[in-house]
Amino acid sequence: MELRVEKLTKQYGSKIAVDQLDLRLTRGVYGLLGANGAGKTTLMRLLCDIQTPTAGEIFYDNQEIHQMGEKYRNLLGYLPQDFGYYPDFSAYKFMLYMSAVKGLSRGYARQRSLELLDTVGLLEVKNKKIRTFSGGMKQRLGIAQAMLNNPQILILDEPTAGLDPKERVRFRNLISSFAANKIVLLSTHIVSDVEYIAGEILVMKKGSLIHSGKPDEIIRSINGKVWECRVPATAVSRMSESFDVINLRNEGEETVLRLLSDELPLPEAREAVPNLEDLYMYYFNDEEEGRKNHVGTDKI
Amino acid sequence: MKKTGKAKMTRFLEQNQAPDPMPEKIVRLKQEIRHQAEVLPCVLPPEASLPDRLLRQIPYISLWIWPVQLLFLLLFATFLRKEAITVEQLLLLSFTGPLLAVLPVADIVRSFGCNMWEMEAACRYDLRQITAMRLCIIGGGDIAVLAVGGCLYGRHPGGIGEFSLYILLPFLASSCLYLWELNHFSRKCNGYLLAATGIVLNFICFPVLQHIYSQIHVGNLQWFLQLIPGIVIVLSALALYGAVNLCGKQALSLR
Repeated sequence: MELRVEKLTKQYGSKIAVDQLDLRLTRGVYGLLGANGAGKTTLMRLLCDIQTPTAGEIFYDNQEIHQMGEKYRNLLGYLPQDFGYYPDFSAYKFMLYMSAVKGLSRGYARQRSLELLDTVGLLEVKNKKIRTFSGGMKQRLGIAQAMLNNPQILILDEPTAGLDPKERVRFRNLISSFAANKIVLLSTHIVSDVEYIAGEILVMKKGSLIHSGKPDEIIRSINGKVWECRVPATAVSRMSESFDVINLRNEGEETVLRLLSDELPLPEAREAVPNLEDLYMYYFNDEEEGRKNHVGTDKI
Repeated sequence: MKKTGKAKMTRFLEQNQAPDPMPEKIVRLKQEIRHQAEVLPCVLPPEASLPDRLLRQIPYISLWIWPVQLLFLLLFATFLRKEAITVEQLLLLSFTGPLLAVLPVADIVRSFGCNMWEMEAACRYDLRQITAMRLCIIGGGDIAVLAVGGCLYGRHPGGIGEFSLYILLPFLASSCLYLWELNHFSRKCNGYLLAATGIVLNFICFPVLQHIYSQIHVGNLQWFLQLIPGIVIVLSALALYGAVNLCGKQALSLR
């Protein structure tokens, strides 16, 4: 099982959303990281054959996915980033509707819908109208519909948005148990979600894939660039002007800063073990904050 | 089995242990299990027939559509059962055309209105097919209502001609217009735009049909009556073209 992307480009007018992207996905969980506007959603839509690439091709087991048509979509489960529901539908009716458009048999649809509603903790409210659901419940329902046809390729765009920490843990476990022998691609801003379950991280910036690899490998690429130092509270502002501050913690009169720097920022600073959040900030802080050297300073 | 026989068998099995499976056989078996697990899990029927697909979509059509169609049916049954139809009744029935025509398109814009399109587009039956199925189901309902109306009106002398002029033509003309809007404005086309179009159409149709009615009754515009079959055919073809175009466009508009 292989999903292969070759020189994929998607252009909207003069804006290039995905730029000459090459990618190869085999069985496993892939975490797609990138700032807003990096092209993650466009890439996912292209992988789902919802949008047509401006150039390049996507192959599933050496067959072009658009040509595969229904055959490809049979293998696909997709949760979009922004989605709604027909308000008059109950959770169960929604699942049955999605089963019908996925072409599942009636008996299987009923059984699978109930099973998945139970898995995502919505079985007890299955007959309630979706419009009465909270954001987290709607998100869980979205995740459940993506799994209805037991897809071989599961694409989830920001699946943990709106989920509370307990629900996120449940989601991670669900994905981990579901992912055996499947291709799972998920994008999120919550880096801890992919840190725990993704076997491989893909980092996207301005439509291109700038990094890919196992979490520890990819994190290793910023070894020696994450520092912790203790400074007086009055020096925080000056420090944040000079360095990319990831985190700060007040301890009495002093503040402990976690910051990014290619060189030793202060003689008393000590090197910290980087994590995926540091990596994310290392690559995207200027895009996320809209400024080059002021990461995390909005808290100051 | 006798006790002695059982003991004998147990002894024999103890003496002749089953050999360990060969490693390559284990690997092959595991591969086969994995392959089966990949092939079997999706309990997807190979290719459902069109009637089966349509039947399975019916429960998910907006629920308000069926009572509206039933209401029109009752309206036809009430007015057209009588032997004589007044001009007011006839012109009132002419409103049903644009209203009936709006039903299928109103259900189609729901995908975008409720932001379901992206989820639907990634399913086995993509947005193009779902649109076509909805058009078939609700359009089929409309045609059934019109057919009943046509049969009832057809019993009157010159009934088919009048039915075509006052009910079928407004229905077809408004269908063409709604479909044109959907094809040109695509995702921006919503229920409000369609409702506004329907209201404007009725404002235009009512005096025009009233004028035509009065002219025909004084013996004018006979040539126009002869053109009606041709106009019905042209508008039907245009509506069909619009519907086919829409099904393709629903998918393309996303791309």
